[in-house]
This record gives sequence, C-alpha cells and structure tokens, in this order.
Amino acid sequence: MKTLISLIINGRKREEAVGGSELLIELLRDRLGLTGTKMGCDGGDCGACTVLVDGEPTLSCLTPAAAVDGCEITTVEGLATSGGLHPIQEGFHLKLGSQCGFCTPGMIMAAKALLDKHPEPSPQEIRAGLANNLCRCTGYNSIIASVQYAAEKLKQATRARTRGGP
Amino acid sequence: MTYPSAPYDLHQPASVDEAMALMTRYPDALYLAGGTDLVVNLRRRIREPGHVIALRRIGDLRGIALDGGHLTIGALTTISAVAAHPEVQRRMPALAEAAGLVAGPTIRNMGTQGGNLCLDTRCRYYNQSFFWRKANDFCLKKDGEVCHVAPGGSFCWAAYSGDTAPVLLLHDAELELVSPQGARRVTLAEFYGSDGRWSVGTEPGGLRPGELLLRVHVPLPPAGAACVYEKLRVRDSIDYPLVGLALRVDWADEAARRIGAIAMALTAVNPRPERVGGLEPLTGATLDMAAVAHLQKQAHRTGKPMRTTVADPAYRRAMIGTLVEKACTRLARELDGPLMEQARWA
Repeated sequence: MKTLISLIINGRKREEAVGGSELLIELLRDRLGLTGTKMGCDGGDCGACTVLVDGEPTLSCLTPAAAVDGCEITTVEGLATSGGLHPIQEGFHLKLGSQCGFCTPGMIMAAKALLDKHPEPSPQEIRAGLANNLCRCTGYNSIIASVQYAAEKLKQATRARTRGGP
Repeated sequence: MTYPSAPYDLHQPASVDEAMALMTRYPDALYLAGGTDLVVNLRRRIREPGHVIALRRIGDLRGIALDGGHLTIGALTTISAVAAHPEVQRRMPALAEAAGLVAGPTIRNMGTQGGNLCLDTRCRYYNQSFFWRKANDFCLKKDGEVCHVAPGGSFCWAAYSGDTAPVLLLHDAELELVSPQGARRVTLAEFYGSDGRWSVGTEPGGLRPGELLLRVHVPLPPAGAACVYEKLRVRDSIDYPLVGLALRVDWADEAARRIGAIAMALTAVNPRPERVGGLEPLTGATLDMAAVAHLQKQAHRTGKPMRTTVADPAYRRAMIGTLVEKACTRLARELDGPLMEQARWA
C-alpha cells in the first residue's frame, strides 16, 4: 500500500508515493539521492542518520517516511548556500571536527538543532546536545571546538545583521 | 549492511476511535508511538506484523495536565517533554530526572512516555539482527528453544530496561488502557509480568492483544516526600541502564532523618521493574548506615542481573549496592541537616 505524501525537503516542495514500511532515510538516500545522510547502526544508537524534522533532530532510520507527511525536512545538503559553506560546516572543516567523515552529517545536523535553540552553548551543553551522536575517530574534542567556532561565527553574523552591516 | 523489515502497511489514525476501528479490522497490527524501540525490532524481524498503526497524529494523547492531586501524562508525550515540564520538575523531580537520563537527546525527542513503559524486554541474545540470531540458533524469546542466558531453564531472563517505570512504581501510578473490547484502568505494579518473553503482556493487568495505553495517572507525592533515581551505564548517554534504582522516602521528621515510609524499585536487573520488599522494619528508623545496609540486603535479594548485557552480572550486582548508597547519600544531602556521620562515601 503506497501513500502519497507532500513535504518540504531542504526548502523544496515535493510529493512522493511511499510504502508503509519505507523509512525516511530510504526515501532520502535511495529515491531522492540525498546520500549525505548516513545509515550507521540501523538501530538508533549512532545518530549518523540525524535530520531535522520541523526543526527537531530526528533519527531518519527510525522514522516511517509516511509519518513526515506535511513536515519540513532539512538534511546536511540543505545547509550550504551558493555563498559557501554553512558556519557549522566551516567549523568542522577548519577545526578538524571530521576525520573519516561518516558521523559528520549527523553531528552537523544535531549541532544545527542545538545552536538554533542555544546560540551560545557551553562546552558541557555541546556535549549534552551531541550526546546522541557517536564518533569513533576524533575523540570529540575537535567536534566541540568546531561547534564553538560555528557558534561564534553565527553570533558575529547575527550581530552584523542587526547592525545592518555587511 | 542494513536489513529491511518484513513489509507492512502503515495506518495513521487521527483519533483513538479510528485506531480501535483499525485494530478491529487488522487484529495482528502493532501500535507505533515514537518508534525508537519498535522500528528497531521491525528491522531486526523480531516483530513481523502485517499492519502497523502509527499513533503520532492522535493529538489528545500528547501533553501533561495537573488536576487536583493528580498528574496525568498522555502516552504520546515525548520523554524530553516529561523531563522539561516545569510541574514535573517541581512536584515529581525524580520522574523528570529519570526521563532526562533516558538514552540521548534525539531519542528523548522521539520516544514517548507510553512507549517507555511498554518497552520490550532486552537481552544480548535477542536484540540482534535476524542474521545474528539465526547464526546463534535463535533463543527462547523469539523463534528458538533455548535460553542462552540460562540454558537449562524454560524461563526468559530478558530484562525490562525502562528508566521511568521504577519512579512511577514508587508513586503508585495507574494506567488508562483501551482496546476494541473496552476501557479499563490498572496499576503500574500489576502491569508487568515476571517472564521476559513479553513482560507487559503476560499478567491479567498487562496489555492484552490490541490494547493501547492512553494515559498515565500519578498521584502527587505529599510535602515531605523525596525521591531520587540512580542509573548505571557505560557511556552516560544513549545506552540503556545496566542497573536503575529509584528510592523514595516520606520523612516523619526531615531534620532528624527519621523515616515515615520508604520504598525502593529496581530496573534493568529483572524481566520487570521490581519493587523491593521487606523494607517495613525501616519505618520509624533513622536513615543511617544500618538502614543503608538493610536497603542493600533487600535490593540484592530482589535484583537478579543475568548475562543479558555485555557487562558482567557480578559487576552489576555489586553496583546495586553502590547505587543504594548513592541514592541514600543524595536523599540525606537534600536535607538542610548535616550529612550522614558515618559517611564513608562523603
């Protein structure tokens, strides 16, 4: 049994016919080619499949595709603009928050959800905010530095905007 | 490598009545709330229903209300909403604490209070892929004949591993259930059975086929009651408890640490959340080292950690005693008075 759903993925409205047992990650990766989102443990342990559903971090490997009908989905592909990398991506690049890279899309989306709610998190809050995401390479310290960099950069951008500056 | 679940049809009713109509039509269906337990088990072919009834569109099962002396929690309220709710934090801080210790932030955003109580029991020989279980000749709980934890027996030792149940047990929570046959109310204590095969579906008070948990009703504790939850785990995030312990004291005299009533419950070391018995001698006693020793003895009698997790059962057993100490210390510290004097843990 297929269900027709309409949703917004990375700002673009789409309609898709999805099967009952089809998961959001299967829709994203296998049918829409958005392979930035990774399937890691297939069991809710690793957080590599984290995407934002209506702004909330959600594990796309545990979410039926039909259940996000009418929702707004943001994946890692939706962050960068034509102007370049998103500050969080830039942070992971410059502060070496990414080594093998498999956890990075999930880390970045969890960090986005965190910074949207807490623009100036302490290192402890960053640890708590990313606690659902496993990394087997970095030892996490460089990831925390990456998110701190992004927070600072986003703060500067907000300040520039409110001043009407560049 | 990922494993697809057996194909199923997903239904998304907008009301409880619609859900009941669907359950009448598809009696083999399973209810799906947050999905953090069931979807994993579907992927591993531990559950293979032809139909799944997703509940997330039933808005009136979401939310927390305070009426009179009762807290009512809708079954679809997320764990993070329970943990962050100001009235839960103020009136029942141990529940907020236990909810805040469930898994990690993303899972807490998805998982629900009802799902946490209805959590399937867990075991290292059970929560595995179909491929893994097949290679191991399956197990007593699913598809097999032998329990790999206790090979001689006919009993399943898979452990119930929810964090909120022990706290709710100590607050005498009641559950509102509904099925196509009608509604009923059971206490949380009679909800769980002692066999790990499906501990929420084996007792008269447990879930019957097609039955749905709607709301949790909890009487608010009186002033002078204090409760804490302690959780042992490897990573301090994501993972299930290796041992979970809730301790509640209703003080007769707070300043003197004189106990009016005391209750304790364990999780993750038995097939069901288990209330620790034999604590009556502590009524009227002082919460001191002798009381701690008595609590430890009774907790050790109740908790039966088996080889259901990767951690050694002897370690988990020893840690039951440590968690009793920690919980007592915290309850004593929460008073204004001095810390316990014989405090070898101070």
